[in-house]
Amino acid sequence: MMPAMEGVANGALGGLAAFLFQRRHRSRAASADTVRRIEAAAEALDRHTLGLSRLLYSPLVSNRLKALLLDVSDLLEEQQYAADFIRLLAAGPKPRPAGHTDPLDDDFVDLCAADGEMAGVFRAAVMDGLAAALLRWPESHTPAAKCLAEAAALTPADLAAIVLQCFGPATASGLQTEPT
Amino acid sequence: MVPATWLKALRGNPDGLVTVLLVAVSASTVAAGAAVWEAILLLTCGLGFYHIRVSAAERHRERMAFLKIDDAMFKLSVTKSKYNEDLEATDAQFRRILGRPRR
Repeated sequence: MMPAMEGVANGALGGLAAFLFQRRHRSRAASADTVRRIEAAAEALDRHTLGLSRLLYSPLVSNRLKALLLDVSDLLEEQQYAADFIRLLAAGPKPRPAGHTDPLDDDFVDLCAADGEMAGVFRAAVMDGLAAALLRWPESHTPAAKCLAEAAALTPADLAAIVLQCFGPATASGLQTEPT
Repeated sequence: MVPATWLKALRGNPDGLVTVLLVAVSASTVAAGAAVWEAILLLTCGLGFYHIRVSAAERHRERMAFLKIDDAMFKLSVTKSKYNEDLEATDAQFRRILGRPRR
């Protein structure tokens, strides 16, 4: 083959190889990203479960807080509910009238006073559940950082208000603290 | 010969290594007198088979990761249902003893 033709052939081979390599490289990066994300979500769910099992059987945690935690956990299991929850979370809590106190907040203050570590476990369980939902369904959410920042600043009463908005008052187990 | 910088870049990059090898083999076949379309076919088929094989491994890893999620969800539902059962059992006990729900 003439040297000029060989050069063209080698160029064509190089170009084709570069194109195919790029496709492969992108596919590998996307797959690795998915695996990392899903594994991180599974770890967050495991931490959420661990926190939940500690809190549910703790006598220090009030039944209202336990019911709230169960509701949040149920909510974050379903993609549609989780998307609604995170959308409302990103919008921030509704302002409450000045001087209004909620029994959930009182319960949480009591829990903080009784056992600060348990209060931390409560917050961590909520945040882990949220992180798991954000990692599992990243496509359906507003920026994760904003949601997490809002969630970190929420009081249990604000959280309960968002849960009620998501489930609707008719279906919220919410805050129904005793089984019937 | 492959330059030393290429070798360094190819370390830990199997996709790059396979691509460079296949390009080298295809270019060699052209230099040895094969038609260009044959070399292109060789390169495309080689990379195609490699892609199919590696993609299958990647899909398997993704499935394993999703199984971890399923496992975590199962543990979570077991924890919650066990708690609910305990709560119902306790409530039934209260009802039996007191004749009213637990407060």
